[in-house]
Amino acid sequence: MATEKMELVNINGTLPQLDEAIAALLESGSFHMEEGFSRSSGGYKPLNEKNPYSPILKKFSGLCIGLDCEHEKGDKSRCTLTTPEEFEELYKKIYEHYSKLDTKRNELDKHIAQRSEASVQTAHLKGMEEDLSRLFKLEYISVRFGRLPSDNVRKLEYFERNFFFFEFDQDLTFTYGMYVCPKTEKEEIDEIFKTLFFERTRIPDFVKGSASQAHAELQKEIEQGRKDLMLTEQQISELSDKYRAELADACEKLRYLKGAFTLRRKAGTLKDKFLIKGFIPKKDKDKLEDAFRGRDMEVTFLPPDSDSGCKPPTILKNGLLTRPFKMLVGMYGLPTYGGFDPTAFVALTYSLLFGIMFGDLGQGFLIALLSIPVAKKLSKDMGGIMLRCGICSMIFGTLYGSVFGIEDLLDPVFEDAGIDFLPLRAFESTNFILFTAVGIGIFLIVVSMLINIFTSFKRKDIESAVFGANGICGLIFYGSIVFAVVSTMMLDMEVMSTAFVIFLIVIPALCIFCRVPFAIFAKYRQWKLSEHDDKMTVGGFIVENFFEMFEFVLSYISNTMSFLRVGGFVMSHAGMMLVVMTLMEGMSKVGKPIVFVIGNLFVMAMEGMIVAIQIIRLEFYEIFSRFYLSGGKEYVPITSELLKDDI
Amino acid sequence: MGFDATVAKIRTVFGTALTEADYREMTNRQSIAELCDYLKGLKRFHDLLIDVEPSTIHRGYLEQLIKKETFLTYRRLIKFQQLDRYEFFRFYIKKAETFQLINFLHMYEAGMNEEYLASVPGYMTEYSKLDLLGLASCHSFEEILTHLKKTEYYKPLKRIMPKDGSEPELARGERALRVHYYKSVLDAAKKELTETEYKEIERLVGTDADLINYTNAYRMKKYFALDKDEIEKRSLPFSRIGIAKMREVYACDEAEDMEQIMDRSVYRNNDPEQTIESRNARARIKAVRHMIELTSSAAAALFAFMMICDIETANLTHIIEGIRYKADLSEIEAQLAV
Repeated sequence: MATEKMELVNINGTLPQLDEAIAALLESGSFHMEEGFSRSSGGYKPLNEKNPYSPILKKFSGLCIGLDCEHEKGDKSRCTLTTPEEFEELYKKIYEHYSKLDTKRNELDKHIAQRSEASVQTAHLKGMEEDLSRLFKLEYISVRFGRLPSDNVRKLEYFERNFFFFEFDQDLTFTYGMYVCPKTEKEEIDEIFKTLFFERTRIPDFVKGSASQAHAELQKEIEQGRKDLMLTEQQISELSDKYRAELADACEKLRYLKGAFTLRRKAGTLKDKFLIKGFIPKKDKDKLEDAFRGRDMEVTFLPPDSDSGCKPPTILKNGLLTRPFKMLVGMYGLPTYGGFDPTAFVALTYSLLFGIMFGDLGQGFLIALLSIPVAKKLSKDMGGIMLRCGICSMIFGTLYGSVFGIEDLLDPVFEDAGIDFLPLRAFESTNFILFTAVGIGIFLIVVSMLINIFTSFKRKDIESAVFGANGICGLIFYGSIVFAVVSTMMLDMEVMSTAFVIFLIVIPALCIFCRVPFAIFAKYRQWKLSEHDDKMTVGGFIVENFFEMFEFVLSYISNTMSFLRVGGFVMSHAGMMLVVMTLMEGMSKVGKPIVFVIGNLFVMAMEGMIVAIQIIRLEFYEIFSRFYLSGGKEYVPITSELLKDDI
Repeated sequence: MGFDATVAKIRTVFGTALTEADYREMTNRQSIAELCDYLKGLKRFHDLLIDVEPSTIHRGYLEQLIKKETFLTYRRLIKFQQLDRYEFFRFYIKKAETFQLINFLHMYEAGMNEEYLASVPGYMTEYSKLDLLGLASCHSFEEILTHLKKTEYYKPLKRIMPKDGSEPELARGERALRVHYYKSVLDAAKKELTETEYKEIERLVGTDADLINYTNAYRMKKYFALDKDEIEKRSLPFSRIGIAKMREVYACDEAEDMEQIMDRSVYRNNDPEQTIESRNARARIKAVRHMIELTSSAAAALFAFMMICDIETANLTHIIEGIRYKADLSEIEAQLAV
């Protein structure tokens, strides 16, 4: 339940060696880089330089997209180029071939698009039986067909020019039509319409006849254009096949070089010296030493807390069984370095609670089975959690005797084994289930308080460990009340004596009320009402702590009662499956299996998700809030920094 | 003013703003057609571009459509709880009107009235109380004033008119219109909003003005070597960090010194690869994003959100122009504010 031990590493050298140092760090793999110019670095400044690999990498990326090979995996070791100039040369070589074909492709695209557009336009001219070629041959008048954004049509009346616009048709955005103007003013009028985003439909000169004849002619041209386009696409594809591997390798190498160069920005520099700071897991220390062996650079290993400017990152250390649950802990926030890692505790409680709330042998088996594709395709951690939850669901499903909602399928098995207290039927043991749920809640709250006491003592926080609502006083107060309620109401024992009330309830409550002054006294041997606010008055102190005390007591009650939902979901699951079974009974022979399958899938999907969310809620609000301190820094090894897009 | 539903809606729309990944995708496009195709695939622009043929669309028209979408988003947001009945919430229409008037003054000065007519966004004529298209027929400043006689823009422009009736310096008109816009926003906020909301709007206006003033001052210093009085005379009299601090900026001998002072303020932004405009736009995003996330005022959230939308529109314009003129990818990226 601890975090991985780290070491602080300082690397010093001269500026020309900086790239070599970064390469060695990348080789070692697990170095977490910090800024070498933080306040504690003594005058070191950041390097502010442009990355020479950025522009060329972008060019390569564009080229890869153009040649449709952007997803090709490359191997940087196969690429021997190193300087931006060398990459530029390779780029030019390939781009020369590509740009010719690309221009041709664009022209064809445009050609087809113009004709397609014209074809759409001529469709809008249907009904105009005038010979189009005759219109274009008019001696003094020019005619233009096309479409104008409808927003701009009303502007036309404001132009004091000689033209007329005739509307033929309209859609949501455009108005289709033609304008006529004197041939002598054609250029100026065309320019005006161009600024109004008039999209001219070019009706080919050779088209003769009516709009419908023009339409047919255009269709022919489009067909030919498509054939030519296919041919060009094929040539581009051949070019892509020829350079695909070389481009992928170059891109991979460029990404590496660009990332490595960007890491220079994290180094601190002073005159011709550089300083790289960072952390490395203690177990990888040898690897780093090996990477720097024989290089003329100074590598110093220090305890992780020896630099006030850098906070060590946190790596959660977990076993195979608990590892997937680090995802849930991470959602709440990482623990600080050296702090308590609750992943194992979450793994245990989450799986158990899921099993209890969603107990069904068959459905649990399906969830466990589903975990395999989820782990492979979506998320490994999510798959791992599903597998563990599925197994717990199967175990509790066996105890409840429930298989895909059929509650009596396992009865003969229990009878044969001579176990008469099983299966545990939800509707026959309602009280038992609800009391057990609250019992589980009390147990988990007490364990959370114990963890808080332990971790608070470890970080020497007396207020939280002894006097806090989740410290020793809180534990005694909560434990005594629970003990008194259980003894009086369930066991008929009278325990509420005066001494019990004074020593186990009133005094701990007073200690919680006065936790701040008591903790200050324990720490500094002086009486103060607040550690940070010197102006705190007695009245202010009482009002503030009265409301806080009220909140504490309320949270003890609400948090305990919150666990009733565990029992509630046991019954809700059984209830929903009962509905499925009842629906099945009303069906024909064919309908029964369909209802059975759909019903089970529906319950699994809906209730499975609700239960999963409810347990996260229990973990975060009822359990974590009692002991967990997040605020840790994520460990980002230098190799994954290379993959960052913004680098 | 309790318009929580509008605040929630603004945050939802804000959540669909273009991301860094979207911009990366767009900057990698080789032509306007490809870019238009990409935008068509985004839910936000799909309906607007439905009839548009990507391969033939003019880049200017695409830019205008994007601006239209921003404007329509604003309309949808204020219609949601009938906020358009408050004067304050007309701020974006006023901003657009102010922009059009400034645009006209520039065009008029260059004798390009017809070009102005073409540049007016068609959708604006539907929502503006001004006869924006009619302005094109004005051929003297006197005529412009007559045309604007019964509008709120008459007084600020009238003030710059020399007593002898000659043509005024139109750059002063631009400043007068901008000052009028911010002043009218603040006046409406004071009249219709709560004290807290007013403070938030004042802060946003201050942020906007600071960054406009800084960008202008930087250019005036770098390219025209103007002194501090000249710069201040051309600046807007609003500020978030304080007029005194801005005076310190104007008083610098070199543009680079200005940068250093700004880097010590809330507008700190150390990225040497960005242009001054995009660095300022980034600082603007940083300042207003915080407001959208935290405010409970629909007025502040909308004002801040529209500032973000304008930056987004400017980003898209840079990308469109970059692609159209085959600019280097790194050059386009240096102009983006994300």
